[in-house]
Amino acid sequence: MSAALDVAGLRVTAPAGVLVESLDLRVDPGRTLAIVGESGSGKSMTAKAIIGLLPAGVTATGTVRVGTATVQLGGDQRVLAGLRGTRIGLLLQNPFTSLSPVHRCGAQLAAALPAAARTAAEVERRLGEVDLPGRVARMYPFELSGGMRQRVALAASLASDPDVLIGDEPTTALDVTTQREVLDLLAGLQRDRRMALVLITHDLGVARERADDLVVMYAGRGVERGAAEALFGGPRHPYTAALRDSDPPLDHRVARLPTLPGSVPRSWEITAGCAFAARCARAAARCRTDAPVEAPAGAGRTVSCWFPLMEDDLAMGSAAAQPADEPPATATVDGGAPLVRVAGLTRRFGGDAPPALDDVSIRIDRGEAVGVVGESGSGKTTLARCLVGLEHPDGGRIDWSAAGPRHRLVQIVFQDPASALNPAMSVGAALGEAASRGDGRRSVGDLLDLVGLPAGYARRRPAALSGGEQQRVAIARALAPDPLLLICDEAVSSLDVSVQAQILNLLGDLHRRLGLAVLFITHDLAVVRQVATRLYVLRAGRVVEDGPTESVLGAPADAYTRALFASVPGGHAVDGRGEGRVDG
Amino acid sequence: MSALRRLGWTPVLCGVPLVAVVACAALGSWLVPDATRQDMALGVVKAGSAGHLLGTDKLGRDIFQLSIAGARSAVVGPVCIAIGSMVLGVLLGTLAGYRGGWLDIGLSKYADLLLAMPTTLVALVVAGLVGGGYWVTVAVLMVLFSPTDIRLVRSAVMTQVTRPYIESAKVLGLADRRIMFRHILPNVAPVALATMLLNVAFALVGMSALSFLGLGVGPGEPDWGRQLSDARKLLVANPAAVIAPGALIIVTAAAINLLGDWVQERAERSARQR
Repeated sequence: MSAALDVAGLRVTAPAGVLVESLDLRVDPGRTLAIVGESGSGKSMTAKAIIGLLPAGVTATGTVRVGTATVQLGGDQRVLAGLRGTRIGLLLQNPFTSLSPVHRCGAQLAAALPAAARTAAEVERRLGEVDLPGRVARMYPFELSGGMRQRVALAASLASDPDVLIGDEPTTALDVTTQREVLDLLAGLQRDRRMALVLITHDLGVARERADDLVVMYAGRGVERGAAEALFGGPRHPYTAALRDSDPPLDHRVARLPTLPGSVPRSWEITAGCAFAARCARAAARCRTDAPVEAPAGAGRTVSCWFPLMEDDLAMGSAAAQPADEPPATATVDGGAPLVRVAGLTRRFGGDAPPALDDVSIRIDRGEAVGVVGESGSGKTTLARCLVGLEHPDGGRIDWSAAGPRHRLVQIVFQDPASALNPAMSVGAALGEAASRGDGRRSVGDLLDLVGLPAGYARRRPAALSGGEQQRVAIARALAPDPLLLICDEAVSSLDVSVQAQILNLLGDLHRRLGLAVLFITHDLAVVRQVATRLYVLRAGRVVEDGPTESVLGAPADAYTRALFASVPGGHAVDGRGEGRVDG
Repeated sequence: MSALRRLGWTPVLCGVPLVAVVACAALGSWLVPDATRQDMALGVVKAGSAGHLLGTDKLGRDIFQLSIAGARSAVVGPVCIAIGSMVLGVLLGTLAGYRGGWLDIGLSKYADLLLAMPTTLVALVVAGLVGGGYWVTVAVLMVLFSPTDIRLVRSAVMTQVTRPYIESAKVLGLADRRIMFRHILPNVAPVALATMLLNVAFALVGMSALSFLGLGVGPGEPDWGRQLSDARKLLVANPAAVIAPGALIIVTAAAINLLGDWVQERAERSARQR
């Protein structure tokens, strides 16, 4: 069978250095190849190179073969432009920016259709294909939900009936339930058309559930490839194993997530040896001097490692991620009144919009770790903002059992570490200022030590830190005034999997060591399972279910909680495939 | 050479004339102590005459020396205007952008009102009422330049206010004044500085125009705008008397403008990278 897409010797170079180093890819018709990797792995640049949309100054070399057409990259761009949008389609991450805000959806879809097929009937048929009603053609993108917009974008990228569709994080911006719908739809369309799909994702669950084959990328290099099931079942490359293990499982809680030290290096900073050597526990002298060569590792699999993992290693390695029997330790200080009791909280934005919070009541005990889960629009962030005083509720009460100014009671860590720190202020100045709001017990050095950063970081600016380090500083700043409650508003959702595991472990440690109450606000059920003893499920501003985490997630009583739980990709599919694919 | 490659030619090409102008402004009275000495007997002579490189005006003053002496009023006033209006802009714009509410509405209306007024006309009227003078003109232009600065700072502040680092500062319970001046201001400063530089160029042209109309500097004082006005009738007798101050205004304003654009571009680029 001839491949739908065959990429050989792809090399992408930016002025700073090499972004992607000699990568080969092959997808057969009707199959799905997932490219997984953390940020900086070069996965997006790979997609852009294949489709010829590299940013200015970035160049690619190598061969791209689509069906019978062969293109030498770096040569005549018009050949690639001819394939783009006809033989290869592209679906981007953000449906808010990939559609034009000033044109109706029908017109945008029609523009992508072949000239002969630009009729209203064809547009309607195409919309029907992605399960959208015909009236969407007359609507503007801003009138649609995120999921509907991504369906319009999908219809447009399929308009020329391409042989290959490249999806660059196509469902990352969507809620889990919507993500499942779009992925199911994509799988169905792919089957009907025998279309090859290249799925670029950082989400191991999505890759595990949806892909036939997998390429794991690290710092611009493909480190392991093979069938998805085999790769997840028995990774050969230490990085694949670490990535798999540091992804928090949905179906059980682990005592401590296995982590990798540090973060992904920039691809051009690797001059000799294996890109992963600096973070690899198995690295030997040879790994630091010689770059590993891609070697066969069983049926259809290759691995680029001098010392690949064997069966015995795997049995040992997974011991680190053993399920924990006990629930997360709760350091209850006194059994008396809860630290904070929220009763009947209501908040409306605008007159006729549905309320962001509608009669929400929760309580958090001293030293307790509580989770609030919900999708976008559930009101979970509004709840957090009301607790810290950034938002004023329209009705209801927030009663603290402890005395003191609000900043000594509660602090917050936000989602995006890059904008959470003042870019014009050094780490030391930011922490010193925050410490001055407490009783002066904590010094900048103590705070850095608390979050596992060296004291020398005090002099650095936020821009000189990695995302994980920035988030550690943000946590240290929040802890500086010694609050009784720490709110983490999606505090790990924008981090890479390996860094997320570090931060989750850190937050767990701080919770236990400091006897700190923690409120985890997240959309991610697997994350909340690792950290929270009690759980509130929020939907459209109302608490639909609450109780101990294990019982809520173990046996969800509410239909919405069940749907949420079932939508998590790769959640219960330990064998590598979700049932959604089979009947999708 | 690596510094030149990193910065490009713009700061060098703009910097050389600007350094020269600033040096003339600072050292003018020492370089050309006799710039305003009249020699009625000599009258107008053409450029290139003995002892007078650029010739003289009808009062027999040397154009070259007069032009050097004129650098002071060309630099001092516009720089004061730019700094003064930006101080107003930063204070009021930060307040409006951070506090919002009625204060924002009030300050924005004030800015709209000032923007609606024709700058030169207001300056003429005020000078007529108060009696003119260099510093009156400077003060009037300072106030009239402030609304654009208020708006600029206000919008720059508003993009910062919703950022998590400002919200974190609020959750830490920091005083509003500390948040405004310790947290927001340093992040707005690059854009404000670039705009200030551009304002110097506008103010130079504005001041020169008012001097040309007979406001601003007093008669007999060295000033490029005044020189231009005085020498209008000498276009044939000594063209250099008109060309020299005119060229100086154009070159100085253009150099400041280009440098301001360059600074602004870099400020925006660094803001984007954050």
